[in-house]
Amino acid sequence: MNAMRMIQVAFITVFLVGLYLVSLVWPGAMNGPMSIMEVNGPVAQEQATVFWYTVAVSSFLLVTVGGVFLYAIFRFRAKPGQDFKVPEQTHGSAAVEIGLIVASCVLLLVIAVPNARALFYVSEVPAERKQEAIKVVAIGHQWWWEFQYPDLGITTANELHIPIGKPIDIEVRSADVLHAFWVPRLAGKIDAIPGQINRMWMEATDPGKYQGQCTEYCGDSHANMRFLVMAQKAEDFDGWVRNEKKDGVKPKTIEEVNGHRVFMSGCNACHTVKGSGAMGTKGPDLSHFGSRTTLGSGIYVSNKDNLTNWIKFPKQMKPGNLMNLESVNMVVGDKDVKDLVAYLESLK
Amino acid sequence: MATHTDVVSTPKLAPDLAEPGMLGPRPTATHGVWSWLTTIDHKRIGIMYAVAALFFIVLGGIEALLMRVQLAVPNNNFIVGDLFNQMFTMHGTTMIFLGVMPLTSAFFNYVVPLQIGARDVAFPRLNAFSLWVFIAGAVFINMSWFLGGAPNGAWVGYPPITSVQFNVGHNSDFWAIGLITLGVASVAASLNFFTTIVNMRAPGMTLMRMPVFVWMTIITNVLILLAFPPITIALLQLIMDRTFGAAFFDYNKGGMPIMWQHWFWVFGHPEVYILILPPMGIVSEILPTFSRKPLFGYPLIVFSGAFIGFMGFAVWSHHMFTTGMGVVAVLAFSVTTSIIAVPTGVKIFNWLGTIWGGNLRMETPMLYALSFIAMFSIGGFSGIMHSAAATDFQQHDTYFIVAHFHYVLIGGAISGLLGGICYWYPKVTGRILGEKLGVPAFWLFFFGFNATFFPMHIVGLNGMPRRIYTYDSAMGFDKWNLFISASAFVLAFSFLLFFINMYWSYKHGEIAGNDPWDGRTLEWSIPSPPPVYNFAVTPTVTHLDDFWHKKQTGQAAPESDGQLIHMPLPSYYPLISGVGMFIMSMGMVYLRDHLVVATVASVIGFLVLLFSIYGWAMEGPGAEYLDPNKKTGAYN
Repeated sequence: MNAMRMIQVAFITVFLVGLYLVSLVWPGAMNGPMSIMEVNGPVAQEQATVFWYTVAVSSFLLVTVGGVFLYAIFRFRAKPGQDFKVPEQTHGSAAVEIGLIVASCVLLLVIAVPNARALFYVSEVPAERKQEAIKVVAIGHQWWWEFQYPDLGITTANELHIPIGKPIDIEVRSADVLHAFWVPRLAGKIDAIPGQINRMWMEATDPGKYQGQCTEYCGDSHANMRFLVMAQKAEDFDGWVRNEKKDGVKPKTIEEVNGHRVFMSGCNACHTVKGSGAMGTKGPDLSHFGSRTTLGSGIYVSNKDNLTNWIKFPKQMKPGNLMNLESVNMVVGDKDVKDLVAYLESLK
Repeated sequence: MATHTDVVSTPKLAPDLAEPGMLGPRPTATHGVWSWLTTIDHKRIGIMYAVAALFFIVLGGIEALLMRVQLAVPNNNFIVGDLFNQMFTMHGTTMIFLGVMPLTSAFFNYVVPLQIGARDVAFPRLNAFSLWVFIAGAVFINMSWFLGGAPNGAWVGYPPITSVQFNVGHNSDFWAIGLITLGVASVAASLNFFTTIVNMRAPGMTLMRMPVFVWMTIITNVLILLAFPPITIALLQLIMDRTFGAAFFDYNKGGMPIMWQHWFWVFGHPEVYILILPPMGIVSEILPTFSRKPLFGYPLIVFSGAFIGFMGFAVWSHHMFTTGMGVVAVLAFSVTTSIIAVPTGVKIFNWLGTIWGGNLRMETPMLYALSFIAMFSIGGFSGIMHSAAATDFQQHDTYFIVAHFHYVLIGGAISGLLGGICYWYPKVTGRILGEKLGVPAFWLFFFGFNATFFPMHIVGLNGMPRRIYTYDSAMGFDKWNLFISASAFVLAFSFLLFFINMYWSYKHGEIAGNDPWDGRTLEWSIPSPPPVYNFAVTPTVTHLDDFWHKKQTGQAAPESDGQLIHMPLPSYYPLISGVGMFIMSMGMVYLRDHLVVATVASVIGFLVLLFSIYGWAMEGPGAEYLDPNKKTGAYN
């Protein structure tokens, strides 16, 4: 094997291994809102640490096995013009085999130990922190999330507010089909299964909005079942809690009063607005809808235009949308829709 | 298509056409469509399996491309909601059950009898039955596109999304009943190959002298035999739920949705090995031939294959780490899963040992085999990553997983299977698959594949969930997705080139002769394409890689001694059973809507099936006597 070929082998090896490593750690390549590499909480951090162990082991294997592989290809390939002779007919080597098997087992232990430790850590809120944990029940619906705070008496939807620095003890349930609750920057996912209560926990170290999404296929609008986790400083969170505990705002202007009347002619069959008489539970609780930033389970910015379209063309806005006016025999004119939007936006 | 050297059955000993009790005449077509529809020759059946499988791979590929168009840019409106869900459901179902499995079956059919020195499989008509039931099931599932919508519950079909409450149409009925039909074909075939390999090896071919491909075939077929009953039971329960209002998976009536997942993955994980072990066998044939060395550590490759198959039944819950099984169960399955890395590693090490010190010829079969090792290894590394359950909580159901299993299934299985096509193409057609187009097609495949699927690791780690038809531009998925979609078309183009090459070589390829690759196993000792009876004289085996040994020691293949060869006769009945299964399945779909009409249709289908089984039993295999020394005319 001449020097030229040696350089070729080295070049290709470095290129392939480099491609693999660079793409894993490419600055900016994996720091999106749902990154599992750049995280903001101890649970996700623990999971990312185990991930790096697996990266270390598999990169080591890639370099060694890949190196031997490429070397063998270049070293032993038939060269043009070379005299052919039958190579030595070797059948194997017990020592090599046993050595490699033992080495593989040892390498697996490098992953197995941190994995086991992390598994116990991420599965439950650590015992010494149970006292301070905030309990949340997350219920998956086709295609939105309901969030209840049993200790605080709050029910909301699609935007989960949490205080930073506190463990959030989450109970995940489903109202219909399978879903999965996932906020990648805070913690790994757990499935929502009808008839079963699954638990997980997470904690945010920094305030901010964290993107979440349903990750278990759940039908037409599986892609549109997103949510936000609003991690807030303790005082902001307490302020939010105080507001959420209140009833929905009473309609004041003429438009809002008419909007409320329209709401009570059908919307109330599925939606709750505390204190207004609307007590439906099929759809999201709208008592403080006006204070949410998104619409339609995190897929639209909540504003007048989107809300108007949402009411008028629900199926176009979200395939398979179960929110539609026909199902409750509502017929509304443009004026009524406008007033309804005004009423909903007033529910701060 | 001439697939075998034509031979005449001697006039003296005309075929035994008549049997007492036969319901009708036997087929007599020797050429043309009817000869193919009624054939029981394992080689012709193998070719038909391959053609059908490649057709469905194209179909599944088109579905994939349509999805890639939708995902190329954020908030796209090309295929949204339910239609997209039908696409990925059918893409997975098609590629696994109608593409890769039948393509491995094509190799079992064509190659196994040749490698063990047999004249056909143990049950030739059952073999044809498997083919036609497979075709019936495949056509049946795809009929759903025209009858109200294709299956849309993902290839795993998790209830309740496939329960009748949430899936009012017949989408999931087609899926469940179609998979049962395909299961019948697979189980019949697996019994057949198991029996063939156990009973019909040439004298002297002990188990440890069998080619590795034959070993992987027998292991795969044992897996099929053990894995299909659970899925069949689960599918029947699902059909019961959907059609008759049973409550196996309906939580509101006391059922348990999670049970389906256990049933499914007890099948589903071994299924993964059903897909990958045959290509491993193919690669284990190509590497020694093109390195001109025996397989390094033959017994270890065999045992690790068996161990992988065995462990395949002990890891199913690693698909369910996020279902809340409890930390101890998760840890246990995490450990068993990582153990699988050991025998898999052993195989890779031994393949490296095989090429080490060899004299490697870089022709297309070898290129595909080497790309199998490289890309399967990368898929294996990401597999090790998921086996660490703590981090799998993050990766589960993201594109990181999509990248992983496409590395194993395209980079692995498809790569190995394309290599197998290149390797045995000369044996099947008598002509070499052209290198001029073959090498560019390979490199296009290699780069197209890596460019398509490697970035999926990145978007996966960036949090892109799988099975979503749209994503927001703020998520940072858009650039890579555009790149992936563009690369997918490069990959598709490489397949187009491969098929063009197959067609061109069939017409104009270089004549191969018996042994174009300086082969090591028995199939290279006979003409290409092989005569209908394969071996004029049954070979006697004395060594592993027997043909290579005979060539090295200067022993010629024995000439015919003039003895007539007894071969079974073609039959209509396997085809008729396939038709019966199809009608019966169609009836079962509509039981919910039109009980009477659907029942009548099902019963008619069942009666057709019953008739064909009865006719089949009464007909007997028949016999014709072929004289290998007379090579004119034709019968079969």
